[in-house]
Amino acid sequence: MRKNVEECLNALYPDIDSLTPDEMKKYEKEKRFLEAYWPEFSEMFERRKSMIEKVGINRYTRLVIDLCKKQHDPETIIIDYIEGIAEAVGENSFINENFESFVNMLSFGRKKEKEGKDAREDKTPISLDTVFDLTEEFLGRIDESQGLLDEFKNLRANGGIELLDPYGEKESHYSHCENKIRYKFDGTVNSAYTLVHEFMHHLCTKQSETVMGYHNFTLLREFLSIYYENAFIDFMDEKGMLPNGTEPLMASRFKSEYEMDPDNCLGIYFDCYGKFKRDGSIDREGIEEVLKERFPDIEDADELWNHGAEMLTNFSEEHYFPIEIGAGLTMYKFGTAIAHYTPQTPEMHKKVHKLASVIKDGEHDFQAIQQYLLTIGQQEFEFSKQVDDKHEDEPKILTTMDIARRTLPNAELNDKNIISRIISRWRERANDRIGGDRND
Amino acid sequence: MINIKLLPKAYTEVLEILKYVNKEDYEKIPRYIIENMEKEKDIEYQYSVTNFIDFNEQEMMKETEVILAVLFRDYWATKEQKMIIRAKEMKSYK
Repeated sequence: MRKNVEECLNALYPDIDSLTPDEMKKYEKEKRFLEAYWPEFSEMFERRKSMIEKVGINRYTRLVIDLCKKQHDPETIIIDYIEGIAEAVGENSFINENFESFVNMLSFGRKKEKEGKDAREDKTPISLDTVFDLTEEFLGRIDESQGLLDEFKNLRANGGIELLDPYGEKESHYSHCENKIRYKFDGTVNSAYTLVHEFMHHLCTKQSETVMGYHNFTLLREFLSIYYENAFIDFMDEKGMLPNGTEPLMASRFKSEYEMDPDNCLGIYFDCYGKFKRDGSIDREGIEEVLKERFPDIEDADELWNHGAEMLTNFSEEHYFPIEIGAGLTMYKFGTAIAHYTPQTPEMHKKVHKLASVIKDGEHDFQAIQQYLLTIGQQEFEFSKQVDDKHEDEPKILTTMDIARRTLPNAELNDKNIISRIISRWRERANDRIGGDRND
Repeated sequence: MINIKLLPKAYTEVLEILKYVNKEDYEKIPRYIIENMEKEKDIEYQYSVTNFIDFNEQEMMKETEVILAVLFRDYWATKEQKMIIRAKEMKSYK
């Protein structure tokens, strides 16, 4: 197996002696990734290489997309996938020869998926002071002007970071109203990176209030925070703070239950990326155009386009992403963030993570990648909901987006006005009762 | 047009659905709204949430849909979402 991993890496990095330090770091990361989580991938890789040579990248990609569409049914996947490949390469004997390895690959993926829910955590101890020191050093490194570091120090000095009960129910969060990070630190590296995550929320909120007045573009905020959260995990690893490597911490995000709309959020970034690739650059007007194309039905909401475009442009060029790396890398960063943001399954995470790398290389068909991400995002989301529902002991939760999707399209404005009037009367009665002017 | 006479049943449905919303979101709804719905709900009426996998398939009265839509718009939606909802409302109004 080890030999296969090395062969796979050799194919990815044919000239290892000429790698730059950054490329070498990527190589090492790729190696750890393959060895730790996807040993069978090395075998798969050889097959893939041979298939691509025979059928071409486009047809191969289509087969992979087909495979992902069927992820909810692994047995069908195996049969369809192998048949599809066999048809593509025109070798029927291929099915029998490779059946076992494909079964192994898929069953391995399922096993990891199950383990991912509770096995991947890193409880290496770390002190709070060390977390603060590391965070400051990290912020100083990513922003040479030291503006981020100063902001962090100010926030800390002014009581803007409050510790939560490590055994309490509340998780770390940023309170926009109180301009305060509430940080749940459990004394291990497992919670060390959330401070950076919440600090990025603080920055976005502050930035958008003063410059753009657009602090509620939630999806953007999450992507940026998760990107830097992962950068901080890499930083901790570089500092030798993670004896178990970065993967356990990155995998911990699978446990989160963030609500997202995979279609919209992925679409915005990939549309921007596609435009960047087509035009060679992307500016504010370009981003605005992308947003308008994506939401054609609400042309009246000019403020959305103006602020959304301004915010994306700002992020891309002025503030958190230096101008020299350009929109292409920005989109890559968002792609990486998407990979870690998507809270579906470890199995899916690996695939999307790989794709994020592919996007950076810019060698693959953009439309296919976009379709792939959107498809598996939705499929996995549906699948994970079904799996969750089978655990009868677990509480059933409805998100506000579930409710919005179910009710908003059917509710007419006149009816809403009637309900609003009833609620207003209740509010007036409540105010009269307490003799004040409070709303809740 | 919603039927005012059916509102007590709708309150029962809304309150049942809200039981499955997480605490943080639930607490964003002003207390007087919950209290009034509790007071005016139809206590004889039985309703349960059965379709968690696809909430779009969950049966509910039209009146319930409207109340939940208002609650989402006024208390749960982000600024961006509110803008989108209002833009759509403006369009339907025209």
